[in-house]
This record gives sequence, structure tokens and C-alpha cells, in this order.
Amino acid sequence: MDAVQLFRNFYFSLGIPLRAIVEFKIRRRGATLDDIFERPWLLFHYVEQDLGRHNAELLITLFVEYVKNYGVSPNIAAAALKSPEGWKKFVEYLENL
Amino acid sequence: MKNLFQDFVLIYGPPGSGKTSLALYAASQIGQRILYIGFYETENKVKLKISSLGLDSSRYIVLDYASISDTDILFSNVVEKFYEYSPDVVILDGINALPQSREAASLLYRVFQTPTIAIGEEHLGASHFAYVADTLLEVGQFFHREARYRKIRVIKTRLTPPQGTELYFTITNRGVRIIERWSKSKLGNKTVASPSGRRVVLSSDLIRSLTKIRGEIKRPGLVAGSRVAAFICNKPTCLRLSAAYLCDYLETTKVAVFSIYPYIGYVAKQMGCEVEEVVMPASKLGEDYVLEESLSKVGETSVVSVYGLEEVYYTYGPERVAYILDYIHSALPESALLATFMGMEPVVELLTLFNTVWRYLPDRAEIVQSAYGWPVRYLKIREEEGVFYLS
Repeated sequence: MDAVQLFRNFYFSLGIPLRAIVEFKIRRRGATLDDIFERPWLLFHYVEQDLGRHNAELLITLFVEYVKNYGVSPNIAAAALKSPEGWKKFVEYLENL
Repeated sequence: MKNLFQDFVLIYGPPGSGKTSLALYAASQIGQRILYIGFYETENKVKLKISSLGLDSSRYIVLDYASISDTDILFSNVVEKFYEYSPDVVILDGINALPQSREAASLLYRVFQTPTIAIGEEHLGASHFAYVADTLLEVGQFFHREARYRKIRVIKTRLTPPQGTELYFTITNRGVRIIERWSKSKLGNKTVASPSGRRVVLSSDLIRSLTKIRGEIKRPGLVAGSRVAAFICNKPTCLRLSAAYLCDYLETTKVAVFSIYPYIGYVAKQMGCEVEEVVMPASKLGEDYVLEESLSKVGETSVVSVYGLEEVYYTYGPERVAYILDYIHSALPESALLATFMGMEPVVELLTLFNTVWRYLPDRAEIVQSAYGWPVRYLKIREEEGVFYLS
């Protein structure tokens, strides 16, 4: 399973109001959505800085719930959006599924 | 305020009615560490609101959640945050963003075992949250003759005050205050001020008769929590008599003087005393901030004297007169309040606002209504060399 594609699907499954605010904050930093899709952990990082840790954690919960349908364990999914190492483990996990 | 906000309270009402300010202030009265979880306003806006109420924003943990369609996930995150911070009080602002189910309402009620103030839109009065709430408060505001009124209606409560009670409240930079309705029954026995009797002299017969009726009263004066109205004619004699009374009170006690338009200060000067008038223009009395500023200028006082209230009556109606008097008495409940209306007759709708009502005419003073049962109805007025003799 392609991890990036799965992350993209998750991102576009979010409601438009949430995506609008996230994209607004990302653009204000001079970044783009492509940057987020290349390095998904940046999503958590940017949201935490701009909208608070509680909203970043909310995104993690949404992601965990989303990938649960694909058989991904909650711990692996939660770590995936927090650091490059977590994301790497997530990619490997998906490849071995 | 504490009586209204215990256990699980649901406040609902239209936008701009003051729900959030009411909750923020009430929470500050209940506990030290307050967790504010909101779904509409940003953290900065909420912190600004906290500061504008004169509250310490460091006591508030503000979590402003982004709007998401999966309300169950939002709900679980909110519960997690409650456990993480374990606050003394929780405010949930925008409860409409959470799942509107019996299960969610029941869970919230059981999990949040600290005082919780939930805020919702107007239609929440019939929601599952309303059924589980210990107290249900409907908040609204309305405008009448260009004056703003904010009101709390107690729809449901397991505590006091009883259901159906309606209370006005105000939001200012000194916080939120419930404006209690004054009633004649609040009249105490303690005299807070008696005039010196230098400029207005009551005949000894009159004082004897009055003392006979009310043994505890040695000299006529103002009682704590009482209200006296004077409807005075707009002839110079009436103005001077009114000012003479004020000067005599000022010689024995602190009197806060509020004027709708400046005049009493000039007349008082003619009667030989200095008065610091705080002017509250009628054009601005449709909002509360002038009242609040005026009260902050005078501080604690045992007597408040308000002049020119006929302007308020003509501009905004008797409701506003009652509101202003209640506002002052809520801030200074132990004070006696003296209200002067110039150039108007006593009207029935105003009589209920006072214990005692006087009417001054150039040659006589009439006791229209009396809490003490004055022994006479009319007093003859005679002015000699700046002294008024009432007999």
C-alpha cells in the first residue's frame, strides 16, 4: 500500500473548513501542500505551532481512526505524523502488510 | 453568582447575548484553574475577552478546537483533555459542535465531575444536554426604547434561586454583575445618614410625633437599603430646598451625587456647600458603561443621591429608571438611595420603586407614600435667610 497516497486520501477526507484553515496557515509560512505530502510529519508540526497542540492531537486522532480501516495499529499511525522516523516506520509497516 | 453556577450548568441563547462572558466570569468565582474548551472563538479572542472582564488570564487554559465533522472524535479528545488538565471548572463553549446524542450528554455529565458550564445556541433548550443539566439558564438581550437589557431566565435548577426567576445582568470591564431586583422588604432598621438640620429644620412637634410612631428613630434620616424619591417642582424654592437637604446630609455623611445633567452643584453652592457631581448624560444611559464608570468614581458610600431622573423617565421609560436604581443598589446594597425628579408629578409606575415618596411644591411638601407612616400628609414650607422650616 502506498503510504503517501494513503496520507493524501486522509487529508482530502477532512472537512473543507478544517483543510481551509490548515492550508491558510501552511501558505502563510511560505510552504505548500506538496511539502506536506512529501513530509507528512510537517502537518502535525505546523498545526501544533499555529493552532495549538490540542488541534494537532485532534488531527492525529483523525488519522489513527482513518488508517485503522487499513489495519494499521494506532501507535504506528500516531507516530507517523510526529517525526521522520515515525513516518519511515509507517511506510515499512504498510509495505509489510 | 455562585448560587446559579454549581454542578452541570447549560447556558443557551442567541449570539451576542453575553453567554461566554457570563461563563468566563462565573467560572472565576467558582475555581482557580479553569479549562476553557471552545469551538467558535480563537484563543486570542477568548484571552482578550478574559482580560476585558478584568480577570486574570493566567488562570485559564484555553483550547480552541477547529471545527471538524467527526464529532465523536472531537468528543473523545475533549474528554482526554479534561483528564489531562483536571481543572477546578470547565467551560464548554459551543456544545453544538459535540455529538447531540443522549449517550454523549450522559457521558459528559458523568465524566465531568467538576463544576461545568456548557454554552450552546438557542435551540439547545430542548436538547439531551438540557435534560441532564442541573441548571438551565436562558440568556438573552433585548432593546427597549434604545436601552440595552441583558437577562438570565432560570429555566431549571436544583438549587436557588427558584425556577422562572428572571435576572438582569451586566458585562463591564469590572466583570459580570447580576442586577438584583430591589424590593421594599429590603428596608432595614439601621439609619445610615441623618441630615445636620442646619438648612432644613423640622418642627419639634413633627419630630416628636414621628418618634412616637417609630420608637427606634430619634431623628428622621435614611435607612440602609432604602429608597426615597423626591418629585420637586422646577421653581427656585423647590430646587433650593432639595439642595439644602443634600447639603445637610453632606455635613454628616459621605453622599455620592449622580446627576443626569448638572444643576444640583450650582444650587448647592448657593446654599453654602460644595458638591462633587458625577454627570451621567441621559443620552448615554441606554448602555451600562456610564453607570459602571460613575460607580467606580464614587467608591463605597452610604448614601447615593441621583438628580434629574425625569430625563431618564422621558427618554427610556420607567423600566430604565428601575434598572438604574437596581444597578446602583446591586453595587451598593447597604446604601440608601435618594432619587430626585424635577418638574414631574409622581406617577404610579414609579411609586413601587421607593419606600418613601415626597413631593415638593413652593409652599408645601407632600408625603405621597411613606414606609414609616409619617404622622402628617402635608408640611408647610417657610424659607427665612436660607433656612427652610417645615412644620
